[in-house]
Amino acid sequence: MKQLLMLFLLLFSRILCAQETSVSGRIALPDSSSVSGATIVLVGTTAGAVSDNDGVYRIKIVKSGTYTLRVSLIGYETQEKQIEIARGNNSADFILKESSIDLNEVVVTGTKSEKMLKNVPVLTQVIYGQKMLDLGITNATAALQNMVPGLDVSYYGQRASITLQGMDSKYVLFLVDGERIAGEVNGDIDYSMLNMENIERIEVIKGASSSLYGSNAIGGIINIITKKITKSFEGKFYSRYSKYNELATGGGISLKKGIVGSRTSLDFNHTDGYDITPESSHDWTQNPYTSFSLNQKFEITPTSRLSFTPHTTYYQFVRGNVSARPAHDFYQDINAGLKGKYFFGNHSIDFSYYYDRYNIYNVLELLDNRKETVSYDIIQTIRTQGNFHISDKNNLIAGLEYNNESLFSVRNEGGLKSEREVVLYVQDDIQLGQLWNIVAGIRTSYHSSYGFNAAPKVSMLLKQGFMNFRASVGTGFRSPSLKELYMNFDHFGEWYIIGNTGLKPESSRYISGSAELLRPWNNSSVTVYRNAITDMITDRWLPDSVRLTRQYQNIASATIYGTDILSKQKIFDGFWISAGYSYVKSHDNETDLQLYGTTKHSGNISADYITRGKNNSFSAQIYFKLMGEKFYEITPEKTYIDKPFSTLKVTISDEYKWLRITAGVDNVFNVIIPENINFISPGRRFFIGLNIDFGKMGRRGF
Amino acid sequence: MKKIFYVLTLVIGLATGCSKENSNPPIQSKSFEVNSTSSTIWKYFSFAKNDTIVVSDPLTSEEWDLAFQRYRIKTNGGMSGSGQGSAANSYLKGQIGFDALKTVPDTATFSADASVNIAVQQGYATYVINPEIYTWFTIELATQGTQIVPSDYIFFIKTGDGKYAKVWFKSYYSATDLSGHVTFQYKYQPDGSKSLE
Repeated sequence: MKQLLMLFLLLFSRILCAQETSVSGRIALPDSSSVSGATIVLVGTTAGAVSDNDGVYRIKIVKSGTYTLRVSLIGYETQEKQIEIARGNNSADFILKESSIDLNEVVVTGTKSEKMLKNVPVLTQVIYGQKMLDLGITNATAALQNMVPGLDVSYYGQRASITLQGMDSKYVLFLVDGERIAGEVNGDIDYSMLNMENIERIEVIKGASSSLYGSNAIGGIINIITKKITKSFEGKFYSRYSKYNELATGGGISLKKGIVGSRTSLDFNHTDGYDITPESSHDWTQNPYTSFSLNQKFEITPTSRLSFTPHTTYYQFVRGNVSARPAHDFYQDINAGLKGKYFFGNHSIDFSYYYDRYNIYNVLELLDNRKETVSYDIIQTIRTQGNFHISDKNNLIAGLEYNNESLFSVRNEGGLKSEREVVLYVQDDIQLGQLWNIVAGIRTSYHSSYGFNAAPKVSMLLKQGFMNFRASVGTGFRSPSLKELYMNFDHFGEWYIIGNTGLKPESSRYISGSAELLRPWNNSSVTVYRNAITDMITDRWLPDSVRLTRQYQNIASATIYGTDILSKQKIFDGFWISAGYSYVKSHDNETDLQLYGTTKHSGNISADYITRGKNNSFSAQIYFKLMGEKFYEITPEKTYIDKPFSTLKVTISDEYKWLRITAGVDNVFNVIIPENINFISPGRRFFIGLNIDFGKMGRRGF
Repeated sequence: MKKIFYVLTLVIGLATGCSKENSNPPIQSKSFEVNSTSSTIWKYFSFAKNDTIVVSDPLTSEEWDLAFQRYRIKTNGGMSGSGQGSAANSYLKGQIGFDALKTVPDTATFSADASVNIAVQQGYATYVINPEIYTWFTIELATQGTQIVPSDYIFFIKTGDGKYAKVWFKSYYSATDLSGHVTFQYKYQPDGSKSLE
């Protein structure tokens, strides 16, 4: 007993000793005014803090040694400082520099590891959630369509469908915190389930330059990174209102005490809908709908070496009925997962489990609103990934992943179908001298329906002064979807579409090169790429069948090439002009036609002005978007074309302490094109938005 | 005073009662949902039976009045049958139109069944249907998939055996949201007159 007590005391004293070690300091601007809300992390551990109203932070450290401190805040340049931490209190102050170009910002998607934007060999475009709110954008698809040249959104059956670099959504992998989400309909997830309040940033990678991800990442990857819990208290509320009773509102509360952090966020959306084609009165351009999503996340850090993040989301969407049918749609999603990270030495291990179920119901209005299941989709992913810091110039990643998807659809042969996949991936990140960074990886998988598949890739970054040159060569693939394997759709006995269990994956070879200019007053990049896809799956009439039948077959192939240009130029302090342009040429080798739904030219120009005072800030933006013709070629004679259009949006935003008011005009020129399915705007609309930051209210509030 | 009122009521009651006795008893408004989900089989309907019936030879039978296949509708006449079947569009719509049409006007132009070109998945196909009733719906081809939207026109139908009815085709979807279920409301005059009250 005595011995136990001794041991306990010993341990306790160790903990007390350990608690004495810490690092603290103050975050300030060059004029020495305090910066509150900046995030300070101890790279390679779970430890971190947020600066308080006096700009002061303090991080407790278990073990002395050499650490890297990273300070970041939106609108400022991210800074890293390596410090030697001895026992006792250590000090490290930072002076932040304002910057609209933050290339020190960390991204994760391209290499499955944290890397600064300027050092990542895979060109990544980032959209910040804060920026979206500043501009009064309250959904992810609008943000993507507006801010990513070459990304286009169309609306089929009231569901948004994206195209990236000429490739439709089947070839774009959509992730939330690196996890594939359930509920795809023809390759598109239900974008309205993305909880706006929860978005920290969206990372966009074009092309198949990251093969660490599985199926669908042929055309690109869009990864939504959700907010982390950093402060002891954070409370935010936002609301945006526009014509047709369009309301987007929500809020989030983060609390952190000791080793436990909690974050709760809620999003609510409603519109009365509108119709820009009144001649078809039962088919509105935008149906009424009401949706909400509720997200709960905990971050538990029992030690500075270990963290757990359990998280769960509930979402539902009810579409109002304006059709001639006595029924309406009801969508629902329930997901839950657990992420964990353990640091040992200079290495770390990630583990995660994710479960996601998406339900589509038909609500029968004449039968007491009985819900009938149309389909449900369940995705489960278990993953473990080791991150090995072999040396300062060599980082190795190895991961093992198990994926399982089950899809029930009334249009499936036999109803419920499932597929499984085991994946092993390895990636090595090598720094050669001062100039070259090479990331090479391979993803191998064994799939329950078609067997073995391997997809290697190499990406290179050459740094020459203020220029970055990047090159990527990679292979991508897309597994046949459960629909393509098992569909059995009887079109009233007139004709049929059937699946094909003999399908193999589509594969692609991707090559791209880019040059990037990095100056404090200009950040520009030019990318050229070529993507060749073979064994494309498409449905064709079966020649010798007794009934009219279309079946999915691996028969098509396509070649796509294009260029993307992005540029951001400072005119004077706080005033920037940005422009983007994308050109895509796509060619279906089998039919000699352009790929269905290709927009050759698209671009945008925007002017941003921001001025910051001690307690307030004011920003204004003029945003101009241009879309060229969008082609839907069925035969050389039968081509539908979405007309070219341009829209102008003006937003002003004023922030005083904890309150921010945003107002603006969408579609200033009042452009209405009822024929287009990639532009469903009902014309000019004013909107007003309100943001409250409860964390800033405090003692020295208004 | 009260007595006068009672007497008056009685007189009016008798008067209206008598006038009704002179004409036919009022006919009932009925509703029927026909399951015409098949795109190969025709479903035959008889007003007199208020039900679908099995017909061995539709070209010679006078028992059926309307035939349904998906959204296509026949009458028992012209190219479809040996009866007197035909139809006319009143161009009045909905409940108001249905209530307002108390008789078949002499000006109504009845058309018998004929070949009609119908837009289908692979271009056009020719079907023998009633060209007047073909206006019972419009197709809204758009974002939420193809919809059959009733035009709400009230049609006069001449049955196989030469009697009259007024019909309002109200919906193409069953309560369980299946297409190919045509629901219609009608008043059928079995005495052969043109009165539809």
